[in-house]
This record gives sequence, structure tokens and C-alpha cells, in this order.
Amino acid sequence: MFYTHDSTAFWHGSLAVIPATRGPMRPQNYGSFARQRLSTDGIGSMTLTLTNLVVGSAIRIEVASTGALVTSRTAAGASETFTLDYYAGGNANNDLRIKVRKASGAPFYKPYETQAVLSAAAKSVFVAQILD
Amino acid sequence: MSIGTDFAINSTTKVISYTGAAHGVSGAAYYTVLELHRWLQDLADDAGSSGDDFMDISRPTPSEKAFDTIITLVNGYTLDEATLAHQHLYNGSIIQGAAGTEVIYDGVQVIAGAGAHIQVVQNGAVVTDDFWNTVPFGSSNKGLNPDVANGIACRFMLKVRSAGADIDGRRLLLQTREWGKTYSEFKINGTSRGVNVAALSFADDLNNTTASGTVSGWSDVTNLTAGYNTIDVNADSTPEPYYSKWDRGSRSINQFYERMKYITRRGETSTIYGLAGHLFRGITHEVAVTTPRTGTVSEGVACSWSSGTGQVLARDSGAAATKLWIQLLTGVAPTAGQTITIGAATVTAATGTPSTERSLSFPFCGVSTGSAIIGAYGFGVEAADLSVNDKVFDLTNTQRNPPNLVTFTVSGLVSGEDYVLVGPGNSGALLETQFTLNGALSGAAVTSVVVNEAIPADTPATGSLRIKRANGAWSRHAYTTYNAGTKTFTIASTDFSSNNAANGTNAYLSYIDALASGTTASFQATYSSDRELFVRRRDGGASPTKTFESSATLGAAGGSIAVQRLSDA
Repeated sequence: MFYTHDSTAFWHGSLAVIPATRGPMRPQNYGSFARQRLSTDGIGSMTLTLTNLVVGSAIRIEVASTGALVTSRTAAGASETFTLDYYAGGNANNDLRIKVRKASGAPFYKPYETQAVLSAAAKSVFVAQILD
Repeated sequence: MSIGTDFAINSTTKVISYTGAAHGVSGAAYYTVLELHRWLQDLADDAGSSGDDFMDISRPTPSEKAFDTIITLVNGYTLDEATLAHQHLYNGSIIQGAAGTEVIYDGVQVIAGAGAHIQVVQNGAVVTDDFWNTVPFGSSNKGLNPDVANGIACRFMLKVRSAGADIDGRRLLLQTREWGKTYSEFKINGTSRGVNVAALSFADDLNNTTASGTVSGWSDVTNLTAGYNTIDVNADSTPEPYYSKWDRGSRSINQFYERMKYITRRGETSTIYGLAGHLFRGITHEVAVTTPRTGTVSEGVACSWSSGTGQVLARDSGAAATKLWIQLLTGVAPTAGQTITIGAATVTAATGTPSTERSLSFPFCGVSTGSAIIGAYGFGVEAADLSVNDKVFDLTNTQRNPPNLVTFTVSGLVSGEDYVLVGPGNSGALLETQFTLNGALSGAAVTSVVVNEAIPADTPATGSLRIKRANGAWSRHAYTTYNAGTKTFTIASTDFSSNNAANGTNAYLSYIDALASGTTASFQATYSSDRELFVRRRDGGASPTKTFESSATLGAAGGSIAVQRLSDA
């Protein structure tokens, strides 16, 4: 049974509806699909670089509003680069708190904390750790 | 033993508790405030928490360090007083709490002899939980966290601010009042953040060696007048003001000193001027007061004004006081214009700077040399209980020295037989020309004998004169007083109408002029300078003896002579 209906085509990720102006349609030999993103999914990756780190410092990056861990590591060098997902504008997951602490052995530093807002553009944060 | 073992951090309350052994028990641990901060920060850079220490990088920063001795607990972290966490920290200050509700513990470091028992007075009361006096496990001396090599007896923290308000302006008074040891005190007029150093004395008091149990029974030492009174300590006929009049009873001056220590030693709660003995310090301030006044000011009672409290130890008048002498208890001394309330009475602090701070002595009575006392400001002792080596300071802060009362004694007498005459000497002879009369004595009821010469300063307060009469006889006249200014002796009413004494006639003091009533005869005088005396003894009675005559000296230590009795039978 054939139905007269508009045809659907995906072109470069866009949905187009072709109105029915001829006879019954029949499948062509192509199709394209794209995975739908949820509003909570990142829309891309960006690079966040922390500079001027004291080697051996503990780094924790968390969502500022919830404290949920994004990533953590120990600084192996003065500069650490993180590849992070960013989100659609206005998403709270773009607002991060960056904690850097080094107090398990001399020299001791005061806890350093700052915030960053993620976007598509790469971001660099200068970490100013103060001796404690 | 590590700080992580002895302290714990609560996950939800953010309370930092002490979980180690109690004071004085094996395992009891103490840490500096810096060690606490380092430990907290060490945990704060960990990836995750462990054990009972809920701290890691995911949690807010728990502490901040301004200096190694000033640590602030932030983001809601606090010490747990219930577990005495603050008593196991020292060498600095801990600040915690939000603005307006903050709590501050400030560090105290006591410089004193090892084992010193430190009494802390805060807000007018002795701090009863004196944990710093604990004998640490394994030690033989009191004092937590000592550093004997550096003369530090103990180190601890004390709460000085609570719920956003300073406790009595963060003032602390540290005292040592141990029996047998030197007393001392150190006042911190408002602690600072960090370590507040107090230097105290804690050494053997060589003038306090009597057992306390013995001194406890010396109840014959009493304060005859607890309050403003006058005493003529220096015998100049002008009494001086003091705030007490102690009677040392049968005790020596040094025993008296020990009794004064006893009634103000640590733990003494019997009151002095209304204050518990262990709190009594003496006069800290002299306060000038004026109108308006109401009521009658009492002594030995509490007083208060808007910026402090005290205890009235003396006042110069009940209904018209112009001066109060107080011991400050809390706050600061009265300032100009403040109303001072003393029970139902009120006075007003005078204009300008009404309060004068006075130096204290420790103990409150002054210092003992072992044989004399150097009195504290305003401390009064009855004149008869003082000797020439004692020194007291009256309420005008003038030093008063008791006169050097010396005694000259003639011994070897036979009662009822020997007549003794001791008079002024001059080159081995009796100085009959010591005085000349200023005016004839010719009346029927003469009571005054005026002389031309100055009456010597070493003239006894009472005694006798020998006056040459018209017929050449020397009559004896007792005087009851004399006035050095008018050169007048007061004698009992005497009839000079016959056998008078002419103007310019001689007279002399007869220091001893009586029939012996015992084996000795003596007189007392205030030493001025060495005086030559002439001594004559005669017995012409049933068993006559040859006259004994000799010169002698009344010196700074008095003098004496033993007469000879050679038979003249």
C-alpha cells in the first residue's frame, strides 16, 4: 500500500520536508541520521590550561553550583591542560570552580581558588599560589 | 602519636574535636596552633577523606594563617570545647566564628620557675579550670607545655572573646601565691593575637619558712582598723593616713609578714575588705571624687561605674568623701565625671584625671627583710609594732620611718635600797646646767616650766626634771609631756610661791630618778645622736654602800651599765 505523503530528507544535518507534488514516492538509496543531543549534553570540547602551578599541587575542578567533580589531578608541571566539555550558553555546567592546594609538604601554600566560565574558546588561567 | 590520631573533624558540623587522652594521663597530647593549621591544610589537599578526619580538597578551606601564631578557622570550622580541644593547643591564637559571634582563644606563655602554680584571674574571678597547672604524665612539675631550658613554665590558650564580645576587655591577671614561695603577679591589659608573655616569680621565699599549719594558728594578728585611719608612725605628733592598722600581736615582724602571706595565699577564701583572700591585692587606685554625692560611703564594699568595678578599701569621709582608695576588679579605673556607686551611696569622679594608679607589693603588706618590713602603699601597722628599721608608706605615698626607740638600762640594783639618778653627762660629771629657766617659777600652782634651750630630740616623752630652788636644793618634778616648739615642760601643779626658782636658774633632765623597784631600772628615748650620761647610785640605808658614779653612753642601740655595790659599812 502506498500513501501519499510528504517525503523527508536529511541534508547536512538539517531536516527538510519535501511536499508531495508527484505520485507516490519510493525510497531512494540514501539516508542520513544524526544523534540528537540532550540539553544537558556538552556541545563541544574546549581546552582549559592552568599555568604557574607549583609542581605537586592537588588540582580539583568542580561545577561551582553543585561541587560535582569535573576532573582532578596532581600537577606534574607548572602548566596543566585539561580538555573539557562545554555546554550551551546559560548552562550551569559551564561555571566551574578551580581549586589548587599544596600543603602536605614544605613549601606550603595557601589554598588557591578561582572560577572559570567555559566556552568554545580555549581558556588559560594564571594560578597565583601564595606561600603559607 | 600524631595530631591526626588526637583530633577528628566532623563531616557535617565542621567541629574539630580532641579525641586523645585527658590531661595528666599517658598519651595526653598538645599541639601548637601552627601544627593544627598544617594538619588541616595537609588534609585539605588530599583527594579524599579518611578515618574520622572529614577533610579533603572537595571541602571548603578550613583554616587560614596570618602568622605562625595566629590561625583563623574559616568556613564554619570550629574547635569543640566539649572535648577540650582548645586546651590541647598552645603557642598562639585561634579565631573562629562569624563576625559578631566570633570566639577567640589567645596564647599565654608564662616565664617562671619550673613547677610554678599559676592562678589566672579573669573578669574579677579566679579561673577555676586551671588545666595549665596539670602535672604532665611522666613529669614531676606542674605546667603544660613547658620549655625548661628557656625558663618557660607553661604555655596554653585561654578564651578571651566569646559570642563576639571581649571578656573584660581581654584583661588577664596571672598570680603566683604558693606557700613558701615568692608571691608575684603579672597583668595583661588586653591580650593580643598570638602569644602573650607573662613573667612571674616562683622561688623560695627565705623569709617564709614556717609551716603553713603553724601560721594558720596566728590569729592574734589582727587588723584593728579596716579602712581609713591615722597613725603617728614617725612620732612627730602629726598622724599619717593609712587604710589599715594591723596589730602583729605576739609575732615578730617577719612572722607578721608570713601571716599576711597566709591570709592571701592561693585558695584562701576568707575575706579581707570583703574580698576573698586569694583575690586581695591592696590599693590599685586612688580616686579623687567630688559632688554630686548621695548617701554615706562605706569601706570594704563593692563599687561600680560605667566602665568598671572595684572594692572600696578606704575613703577619707563617709558623707563627704573626697578620695576613695580602691582595688580595681574589672574594667578600667574611673574617669572624669563618672558616677561611682557604692551600695546606696554615690559619688562623682573628679575632673581631669581623677584616678591615680598605685604600685602594688606582693604580698600585699610589703616586703620583709627578715627583721624589718618595707610596707606597701597605704599599709598601716600600729606604731608600737614598728621599729626603726621598718618603713611604711602612708596614703600620701610618703615614706614614714619609725623613730629609733632605744633603751638605757641600769642593772645590778637592789630593790628598795638603791636610789638611781641618770642625768646628762659632761666630761664625766653631771651636767646641771643643761637648761636655764625662761621666767621665774614663783606661783602657787605652776604647771609649765619653760626653758631657754632647745629641748633635745632624744628627750623621753615623759620623765622628770631637776630644778634648782632658791635654797640651792634640786627639786624633782615629773613632766607628762613637753612642747619642743615652745620649749615647755608640763608638770603637775606645784607650789613655787616659797623657795621659788628664779629666772635663769638651772634645770636638767633626770632620765632615771627613782628608788629601785627591781634589779634594773631603764628609760626609753628616741635616738638622735650619742649622748653622754651620768649615772649615780647610792644606798645609805641599813646596809650602806659606797656611792657609785660613772659616765655612760646612750647610743644607737641604747646602752646599759651595771652598777657596783661596795659596802660602806
